[in-house]
Amino acid sequence: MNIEEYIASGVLESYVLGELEESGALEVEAMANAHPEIKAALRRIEDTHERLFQLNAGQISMELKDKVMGTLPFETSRQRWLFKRIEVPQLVVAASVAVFLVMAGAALLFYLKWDTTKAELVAIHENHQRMAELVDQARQELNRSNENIESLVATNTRKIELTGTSNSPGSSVSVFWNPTSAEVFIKVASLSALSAEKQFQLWGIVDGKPVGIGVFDSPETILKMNPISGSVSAFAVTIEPRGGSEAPTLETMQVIGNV
Amino acid sequence: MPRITKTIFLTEDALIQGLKRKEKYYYEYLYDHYAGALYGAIQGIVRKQEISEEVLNDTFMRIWSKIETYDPEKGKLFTWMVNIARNLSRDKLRSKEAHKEKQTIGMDVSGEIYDYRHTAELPVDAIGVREYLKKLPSEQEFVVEYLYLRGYTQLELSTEFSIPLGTVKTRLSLAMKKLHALIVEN
Repeated sequence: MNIEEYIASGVLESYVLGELEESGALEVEAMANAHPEIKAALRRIEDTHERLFQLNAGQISMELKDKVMGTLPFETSRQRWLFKRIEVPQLVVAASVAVFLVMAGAALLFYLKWDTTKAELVAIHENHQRMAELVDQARQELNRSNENIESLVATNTRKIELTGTSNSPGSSVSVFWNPTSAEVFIKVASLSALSAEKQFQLWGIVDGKPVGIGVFDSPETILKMNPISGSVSAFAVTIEPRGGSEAPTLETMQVIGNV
Repeated sequence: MPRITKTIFLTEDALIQGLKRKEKYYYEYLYDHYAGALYGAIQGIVRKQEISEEVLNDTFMRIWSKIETYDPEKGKLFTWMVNIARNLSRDKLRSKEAHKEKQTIGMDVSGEIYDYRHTAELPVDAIGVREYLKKLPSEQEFVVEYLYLRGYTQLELSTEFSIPLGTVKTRLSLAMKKLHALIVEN
């Protein structure tokens, strides 16, 4: 069945005019449901149909409206309620609406502000946590510092001055060695600058053999090195590859000092 | 009562819901927006003002009582309403009262169903639609005038004027296409 032929057959116009028997009408409805083009064509006819009658509208009296409305059995209680509604002064209604809008607006503003405030509160709390951690760290460092100072000023801590060798006559390093606790600290007065792949290494001579006790670059403050046990006869600093060596590169010796 | 609903526009869906709930406001809206068009359709068939008003009243009562059976899927509300109005008008035309009236004013009442729809002039208000009908080819204008303004059925037109029914349908179909462009798309 060809849709265009169906539309052109005039059956849709007959349907709209109400001239089809029930079986014919049912068929048109089925076709319209099955084919959107038919449904659309039907709608166009209906629009034209209505427009024609609207253009041909007749003049009717106001009394007729009252009469017609009077014959329709509306529920009176509902009618009375409708009338009551209509009687509310428009100004009161407008004022109520205005008040509601203002309140709704204020509530919305507050809610938006609260959201921001909540976010700020969370941020402040997180900051507080971080500060507490930092304070804790600082306290621990302070404690350690105090312990180091105790060690340094202990009566049996030896201060050994390491003086420059022919490699670097201007160099000077102080070593603080506590034989009881085995702790070693150094304070660098002056050392040469090093390239990135090299580092200074501190050695303690024990029983004639050098023992490495840590690497460093150029510390500005007192630096705590590895502990060394045994009887140390001397301390020395050499230049080694970054990370240190197992045995000192003696030719590079920068400073040395006897205990 | 003033036409308080004339400036308000309801969607067809909202209107149908309100009518089905049998709320007075929506029937007033219906009257303000559609009674004129329905009256025009009725008067084209029935002609006499008193009888036309009676049929309009009957139409609204029929709409009220049958609104539950109206199915939006099957077509527009107006299509359904105007068919009620036209059917009631044709019923009235065949009623005894109309028959008697015609006898009294000396019209030809020979034949079981007298149909004077093609002899009398159209109501003056038809001027509104006439200017558009004039733009159609005369044979199409003829078909639209009789089917829409004078309330004929296609079969009645075919029979009375000896035009093949298929020709009537074709002319109507072409006319509706042209009219859609003239009065709906503008």
